Amino acid sequence: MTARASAGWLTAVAARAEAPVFLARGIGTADADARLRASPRLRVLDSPRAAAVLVVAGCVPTELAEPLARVHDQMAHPRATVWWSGAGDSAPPVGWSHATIVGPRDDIEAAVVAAYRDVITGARCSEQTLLPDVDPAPWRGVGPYGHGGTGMTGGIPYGRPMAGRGDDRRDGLTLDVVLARIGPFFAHLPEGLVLEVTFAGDVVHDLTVKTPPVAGVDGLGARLPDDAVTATMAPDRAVPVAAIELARARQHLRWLARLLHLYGLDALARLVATKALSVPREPQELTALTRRLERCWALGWATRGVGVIDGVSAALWGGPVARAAGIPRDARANSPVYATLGFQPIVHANGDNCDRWRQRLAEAVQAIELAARAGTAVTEPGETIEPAAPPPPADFGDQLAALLIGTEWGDAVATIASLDPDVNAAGYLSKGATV
Amino acid sequence: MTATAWWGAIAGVGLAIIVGAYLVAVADRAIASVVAGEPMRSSILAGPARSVALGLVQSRTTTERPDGAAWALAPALYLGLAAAALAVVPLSETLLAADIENGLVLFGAAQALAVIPVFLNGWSPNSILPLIGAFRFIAQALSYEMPNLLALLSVSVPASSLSIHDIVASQHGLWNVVRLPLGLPLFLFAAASLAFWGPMNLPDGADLAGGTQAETSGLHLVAWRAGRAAMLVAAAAMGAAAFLGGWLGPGLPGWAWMVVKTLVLLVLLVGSRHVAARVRAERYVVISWAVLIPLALLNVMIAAVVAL
Amino acid sequence: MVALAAFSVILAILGSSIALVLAGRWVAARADLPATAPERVPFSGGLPPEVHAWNRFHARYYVMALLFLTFDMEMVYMFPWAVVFRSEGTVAIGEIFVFISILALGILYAWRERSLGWS
Repeated sequence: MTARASAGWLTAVAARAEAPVFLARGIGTADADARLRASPRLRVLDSPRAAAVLVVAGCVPTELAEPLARVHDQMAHPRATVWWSGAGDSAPPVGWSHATIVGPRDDIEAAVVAAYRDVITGARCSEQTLLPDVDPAPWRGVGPYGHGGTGMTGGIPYGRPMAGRGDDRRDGLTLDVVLARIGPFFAHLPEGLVLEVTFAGDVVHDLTVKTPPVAGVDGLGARLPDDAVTATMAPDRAVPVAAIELARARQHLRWLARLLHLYGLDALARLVATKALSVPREPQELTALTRRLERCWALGWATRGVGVIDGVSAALWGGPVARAAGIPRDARANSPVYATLGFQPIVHANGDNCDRWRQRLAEAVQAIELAARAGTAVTEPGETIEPAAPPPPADFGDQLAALLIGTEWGDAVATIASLDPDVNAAGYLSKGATV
Repeated sequence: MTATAWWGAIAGVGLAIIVGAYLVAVADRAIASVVAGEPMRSSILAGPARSVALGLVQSRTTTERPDGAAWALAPALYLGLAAAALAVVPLSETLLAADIENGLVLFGAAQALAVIPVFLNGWSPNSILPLIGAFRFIAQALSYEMPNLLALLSVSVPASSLSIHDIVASQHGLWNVVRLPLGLPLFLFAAASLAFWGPMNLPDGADLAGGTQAETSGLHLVAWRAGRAAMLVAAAAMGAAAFLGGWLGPGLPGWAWMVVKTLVLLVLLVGSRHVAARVRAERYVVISWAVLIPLALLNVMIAAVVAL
Repeated sequence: MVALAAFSVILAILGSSIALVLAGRWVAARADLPATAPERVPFSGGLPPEVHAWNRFHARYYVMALLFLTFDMEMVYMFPWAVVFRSEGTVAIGEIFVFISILALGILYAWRERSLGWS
């Protein structure tokens, strides 16, 4: 079913545009975002509406199959799907047989561009709706027989109720609160996370974490490619320090690319994503970028004082979040091999969004320096390895709620993005070993 | 005004909007390439045309219970207001689409009305993320409107006139950018805010998955982007006339000076997207009121003292 | 008559821009199939909304909006003032200075009371 038959010359011109892509991040492809974002032939969108190609990266647990199908259906025609099985063991479930399947080592950029061209020119049919074509609920009016009320007034208009009132925590005005479920394919939340947010205006009135990124998704742990390393963080074999540190730098740069996109700096995001794909071996190659971001007063201005995480909470988050709040806790400080390399943990003082990106950028530069100095040095078997982004704290939901309730939505998203409790990142170690 | 001149004026403004909006898209891609450290590709010139073609090929998405009429009107009205604002800016001493005695007021009115289509674009789809973007833009508009109008007003003080022609003529010898140094920065801040461009992109930011445009696709989205580019063009043209001496300049003919100055301001505005991060909504409002409006008032005072 | 012709140009530009975009939108969407139910669900990351998004929105900047009204009225006075103040001389400057100072005090008060921010 093609949505329409456009003139041939028009589709030929349109087929040469940058392919608008919506990325649905499953589990197991940490570099999906950077790979797509670095390409000048693709444009990664935050909403599926204007996208022509849906890229599904990694494993999608069964719980997320319906949301994924919904995101697919929300795209405009003509549309195509590219299933990018990053972990190597994921085939599209039933109903997705129309998708292009790309392996972890294949050229994703070329596959997306080809799918885009084919579907625009009509060589490939636009994909049909996956979910059943049924309205959410029948219209109900106010009365006992569903009568009464016109338009949006009364009863349950068009299958969904109107927003109800809620107490106000701030200025005592009782106005409506809107319950919205954000995720699991919202670009700036960790993969698989669903936030149930009650909005009072644009302020987060209440917030619950519906699906914690790892534990809440059934059977997900078993499908993670590097679950043994993820669980222990202390592999029983020696690992080259250079591989660990380059993987760390890559993880931090990927994260930075996403953050820069969140703040609207798309060209810089592309630059950083490119660097994340092939991490420079000389720390000087990041000097210009560091200077540029440090001097970008607007970025400092937008992040300073937002999402402050102080002592106790910061320690719970661990990793770069803790170090950005001045807690010099780093497993590498206790490592003999890192001691010979002269490792000193980097810390920042304020623990806000600003210090978190500064922290990660500084750690990326430091990691490249360490990798350059390390040569063939290896860690001792059984040694605990400091992860680039540690798993989220056990009381993740409470921590997020305490941090975000009462903040404006833009600040809330920026804060979550700055924490980066990245479920894929935990498995960075053995990927790093293949550098 | 003869019939030929009447039609010529309309065609001229239409052409200026189309060419200007295309230039904005090209400049945006070119500056992005420079910032990202990439070589200049041929897609910089052809890319915007291809995107428009995609908009024509792509279907238009809709939501469950949208306000269809208001949604359809939003990009059309936004683009129309940008074109109307551009119509009162003179290209040269004699070339002017709409010679209105109080052109400055009409320009300000067209810009002020732009709040409505942006709000409608976010409100109409009946979807939470665009809705938040719409209300955010109201806060933004209430904050940039005063600096914008006061900056415009300050240039009419030395000219003792609200006619843009007189305002340009009053800059013989000394441009307003020197005489009123606070005016141009304030005006550019408001211009970027009005087109919610780059650091001022509060309603359509990535944190709202595209905000007011999160539910749109196809030609609707193309028209929306074109409207934003056209709004930048109108503001840059006005900035060139009001602060950079319009058609005044040695050597070149007047219209050429006007085009050059407009392009300079356009590059400044477009480039801001790639060097400055999006500001926070709340801080934007506080800074606008606590710093920029007092500065704008000071600027009017300076203008009054200078003009005496 | 000159002014009327100029206004008609502006109205024609406004009207034709709107008409062109609406016509293009209509032509481009003519071939679209009607959207199915899942295609019409608003986007928020993959899950359907519980409620309609339209609501009595808690616009926290209402204090600032009231302040804006004051200043908007001020602009009504300042446009004619800008044109005539030269002929009126220093008295006009003094008057507008007093006027602006009073309004600026209002901003300072609102700022000190922290009624401009909202989160």
